Amino acid sequence: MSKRYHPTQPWNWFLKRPAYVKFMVRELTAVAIGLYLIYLLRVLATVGNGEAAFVELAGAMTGTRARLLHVLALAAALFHSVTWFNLTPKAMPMYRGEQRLADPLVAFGMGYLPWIVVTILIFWGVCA
Amino acid sequence: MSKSNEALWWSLFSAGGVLAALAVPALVLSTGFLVATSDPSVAAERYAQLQSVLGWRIVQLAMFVVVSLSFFHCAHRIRHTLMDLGVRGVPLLLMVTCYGGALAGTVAAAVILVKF
Repeated sequence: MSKRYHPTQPWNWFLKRPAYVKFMVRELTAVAIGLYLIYLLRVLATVGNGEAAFVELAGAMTGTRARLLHVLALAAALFHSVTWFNLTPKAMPMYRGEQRLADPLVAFGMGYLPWIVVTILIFWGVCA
Repeated sequence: MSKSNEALWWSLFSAGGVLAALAVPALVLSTGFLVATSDPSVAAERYAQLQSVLGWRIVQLAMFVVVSLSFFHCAHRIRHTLMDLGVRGVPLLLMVTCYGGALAGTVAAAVILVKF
């Protein structure tokens, strides 16, 4: 028998505390975002395949299943964005001279403000 | 001790995390609600607009970078989450599956975007 130390913990360790559950939900946003990116590639490929194919897909996107999956993807994406921007000041503290800038200020300047700009740019690109 | 390439994966994770946080919600709203329509004439308008905007090299490049790095972000997070859930003893397989998937997504994005 091996004398190496094998730490064991049950797979459902994160159910012990609400903070761990939140952590796991945050980590699982990656699954939803990854699946959405595959779908996005499919949409882009369809745009490249001509108008008829695109019109058909745009119609299919109004179906209940497509709507539901988009709502789930949106929830995951928003959770990722908010948790990411709120962690930015902790991962990358900023200083003016000796004084550390307040966390909400850094989260706004490095996260929420660019988020608004990028969102407007994307909507403008799709609809203008 | 063997040389570690963890720093590379963490930097891809972090760059992709920023780009996904900035762009993915707007992309989801776009495909799910702005582009989705059962009216063929509206769909034709959206098609013309997307064709024109995706014809710009800078837009293709931006989409490529966002999609690729976001895939690597997801791959890294999924890999670590699986490890946290007890998937141990197969580190190489886990890495090849996760980052290989992100690489496949990157290649697919390049092939699709370069055609515009």
